[in-house]
Amino acid sequence: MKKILAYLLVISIVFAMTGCAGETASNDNDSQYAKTDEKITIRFFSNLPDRSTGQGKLEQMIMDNYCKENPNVTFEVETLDDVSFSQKLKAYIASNNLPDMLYVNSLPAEITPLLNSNALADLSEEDYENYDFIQGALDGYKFDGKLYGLPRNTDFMVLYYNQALFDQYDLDFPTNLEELKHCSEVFLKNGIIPCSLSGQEQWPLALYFQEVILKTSGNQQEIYDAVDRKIQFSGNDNFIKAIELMQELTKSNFAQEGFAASEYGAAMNLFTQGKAAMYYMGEWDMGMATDETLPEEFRENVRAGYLPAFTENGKNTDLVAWYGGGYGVSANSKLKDECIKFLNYLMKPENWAKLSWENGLNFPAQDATKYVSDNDSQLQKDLVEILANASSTSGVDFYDSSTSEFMTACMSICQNAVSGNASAEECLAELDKAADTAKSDMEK
Amino acid sequence: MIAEKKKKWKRARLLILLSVVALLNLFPLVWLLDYSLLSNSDFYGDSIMKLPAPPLWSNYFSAIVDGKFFNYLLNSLFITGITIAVVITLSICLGYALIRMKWKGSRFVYTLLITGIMIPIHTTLLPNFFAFQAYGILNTRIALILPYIAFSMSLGLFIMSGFIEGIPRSLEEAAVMDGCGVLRIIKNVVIPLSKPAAVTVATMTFFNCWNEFIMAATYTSSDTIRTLPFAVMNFSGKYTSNYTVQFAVMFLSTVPAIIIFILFNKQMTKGIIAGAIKE
Repeated sequence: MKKILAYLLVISIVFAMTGCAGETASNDNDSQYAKTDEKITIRFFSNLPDRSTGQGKLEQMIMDNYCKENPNVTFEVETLDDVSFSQKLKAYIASNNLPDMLYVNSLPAEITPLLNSNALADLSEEDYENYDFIQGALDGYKFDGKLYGLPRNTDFMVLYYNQALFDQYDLDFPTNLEELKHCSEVFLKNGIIPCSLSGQEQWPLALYFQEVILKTSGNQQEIYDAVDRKIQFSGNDNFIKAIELMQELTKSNFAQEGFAASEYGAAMNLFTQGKAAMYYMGEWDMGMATDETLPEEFRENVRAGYLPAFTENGKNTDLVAWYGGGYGVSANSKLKDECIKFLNYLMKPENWAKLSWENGLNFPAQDATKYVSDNDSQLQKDLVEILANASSTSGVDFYDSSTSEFMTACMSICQNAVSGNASAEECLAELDKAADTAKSDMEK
Repeated sequence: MIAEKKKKWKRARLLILLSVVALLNLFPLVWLLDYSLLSNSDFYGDSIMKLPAPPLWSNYFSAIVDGKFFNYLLNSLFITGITIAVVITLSICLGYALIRMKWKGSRFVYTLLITGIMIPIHTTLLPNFFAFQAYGILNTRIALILPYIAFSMSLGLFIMSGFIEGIPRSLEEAAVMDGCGVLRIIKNVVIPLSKPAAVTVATMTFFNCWNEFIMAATYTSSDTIRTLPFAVMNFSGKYTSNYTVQFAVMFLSTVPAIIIFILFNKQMTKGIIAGAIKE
């Protein structure tokens, strides 16, 4: 018995070693394959681990189609969730060993290290003239006149609502703060949560914070000027008023009890189960209308609208909107040309844009209006209208427009501001402090 | 009669107390099983437990097929198995060399090796990544086995050396008189007597490796190499996750851990206690 165990151990170690050698060999062979143009393996680094649903499924589907059309190409896909993805990306950048193709976020804090280390290949902008990218969508990936990536989504914040609940209590979707308060009171009287907010992850509240400021001042630029230290957060009447109004709303139980600790899925579930009449979140949740695990009555009644203006200065149609992450190619990849060829295939309007729209997965950064059909859900139609009628869009959200330390501090301050744990003056003073630190960090 | 009644009452109270403790310990597992059979829309709510109506066994199907459960399970078993074997062998040999053999600097080496317990994993990620890349072993099983051994060795050595110290010297002296060399003493005297400590080290190493994620995420990139925690990650969405299937994966990956714990529970406790007391 002991001898058998010993043999097994030796065999296992040999297996481990040969396993290693085999794997390494396959990586090293890439260059050879590239030269002979026979078989190539593209290392693809993605932040979409779930390959069976959502955008991960779409990414995988287009890859599989590409492999069918190009039998000499295979993909070695590495997927990690957002947090682990960022950590591993740092290791790849530091070791100058970036995968051939990867997810690239256009946020300054995330793309700058890649650009500073010349890790991304520049793309030819002319190649994408017929790709229907929405005007300005490529701007986040352009530096010194060169293009380093392609965005995959247009993200914007909306107020989802349940039409059946509004009809039941004879209410119209609110177009200003007073109407919003009235709806809130009626729903509360009838035991329904007016609006579901998710606070545990903090960023939804930071986006809500930015939008309330926008809907109070009607000025997209002001908050960015404060981050850039052109103006102060403290003492600004628009900021003070916005925080006071949102705290007043919070005090009136506009959002569910304990919303600041409510997890994303839990907040969404309150809305999808008809316990909340409204839900503040991004357009990416449009899959609610087609998700067959949700009650049919809900799916038929889910709609979306603008967060209403809080003052006369604010405009309903102003949006907090930005272009989400996208894809780039490693500058040092031996398969750079092949990767660019695949990137062009992936982002072809009839691939990413059309398929993501038709499957109700997300709002592409390319013009999706030509894919709008009668088969689309009412929610999809609402979202198209919201974006089409937007009077202004914010671009990269304010907390992502500086350092990562600023982002962390900012999200926590916004959480306190929305939930009323700190006064307007205290929150604004904290924001000034965080912005000052970020500014001096960036100057270093 | 009264004394007997008192004794019975005392025993009943103890049983009740132990049952409560057992229930509290079992509850997370039962909860995991319960929620793994729910649909995603039933996942949230006010009640702690929910009767799955009907139980969604398809969650387990998704966990196994879409989550590539068996692929990850085999990798986990292989990597954990090799790690345990090496850690036990090395900690016995090292423990014997450092505790029983008298040589200059043995105390210093022992302290140096034990301080490994205090090194946080995160500080080693990048240096190891560079080293593994230089040696061409990134994304291989050995890239996981090596750091797992390194991080389990300190605790393994600590437990094993404490145990070896407790073995009577006279036994070894008797072995020497019978003509045994060092290797024979280790094989015939130290190993048989150190079994409880070896089981403790094995169990602790098992749990460390079985649930480890951050090193696996950093040093591996291919699904053919990755371990069980990735099966959970495979159901993480961009904003929200498929929690019920994740629960099914977690339940499935907990089963081997529970079996190990049930099998070696007694020896584990014995090993820890024996290693802790020195006379």
